[in-house]
Amino acid sequence: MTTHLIFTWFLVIGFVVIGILARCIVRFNKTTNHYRVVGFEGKEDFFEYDDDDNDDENYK
Amino acid sequence: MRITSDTECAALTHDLLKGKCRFIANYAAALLGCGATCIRIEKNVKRIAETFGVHVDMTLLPSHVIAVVWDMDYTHSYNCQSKPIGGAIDFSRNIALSKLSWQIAEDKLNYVDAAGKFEQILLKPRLNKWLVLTLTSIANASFCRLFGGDFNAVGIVLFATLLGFLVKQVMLEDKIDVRITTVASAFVASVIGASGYLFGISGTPELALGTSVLFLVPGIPYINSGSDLFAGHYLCSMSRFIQAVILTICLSLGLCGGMLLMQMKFF
Repeated sequence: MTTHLIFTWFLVIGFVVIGILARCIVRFNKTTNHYRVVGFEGKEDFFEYDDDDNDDENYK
Repeated sequence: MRITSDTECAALTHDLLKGKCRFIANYAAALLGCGATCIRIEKNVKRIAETFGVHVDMTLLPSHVIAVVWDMDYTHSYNCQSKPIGGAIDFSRNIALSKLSWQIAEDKLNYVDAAGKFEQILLKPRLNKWLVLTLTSIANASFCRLFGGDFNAVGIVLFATLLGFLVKQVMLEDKIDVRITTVASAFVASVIGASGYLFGISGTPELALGTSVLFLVPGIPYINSGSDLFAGHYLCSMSRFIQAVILTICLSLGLCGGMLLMQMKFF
């Protein structure tokens, strides 16, 4: 009987711990992808920046 | 700018009252949302209204705040209704909002400046969740020691609270109903709390089991309910009391579930 209860105890703890870890991994991946997309958009804007504004002719 | 007609004057008064009323209603709603008692909300709002030079008639309901703001002559009024902002008890926000009311009164802030500071308070992040988790676990384990539990029982309670509270945090983050969350959290905490009986590692296993779910007791709603009852806010008082009773029932269900699973006798 005690063995059965110990098995149940570990089953509950294992289920909770694995569930929380799995959720953390899923959320971490989502967050990482999000930053990657934002970072890429930022770079894209940087490369499309118009250099004409810094042209010396604009200041004449 | 020169005011040329009575219509423009009335429009100006209306805009002023509107801004003040919206600020006061939102301020009261934020206080209600972060777990302030009704008497505190009334005192703070009265302080602000006196500084703004208006009269306020306010109705505090469990899920709404209705504010009617009058000018000093009782000739113009504006009515505003607001839902509680936040939804979780947050004492640091409660303190910051109370300080804001004093700052408005002492520095004679107008409602535009006050609204700016109010927004800053609302944007301030809550206390770090890992710190809350650690402190709650230590506090609950200390309860076990205070009630006479041995150090093994304290360790069991620490672990039970750590995992039980983590389950609560995770489920609430995922917008799962607070009652289901409480049942699940109490269940996990009680199963771990029963390990003193299961493994025979503690001389006081009953204390470990009993104190493992104490972190879920809705103490603040019970205290606020009593405070509102004495202040005459019976609707809010009953609402908070019923909310606390429901959470206590959920806690008991989770505890009973854990004890049944571990085949423990109730009496």
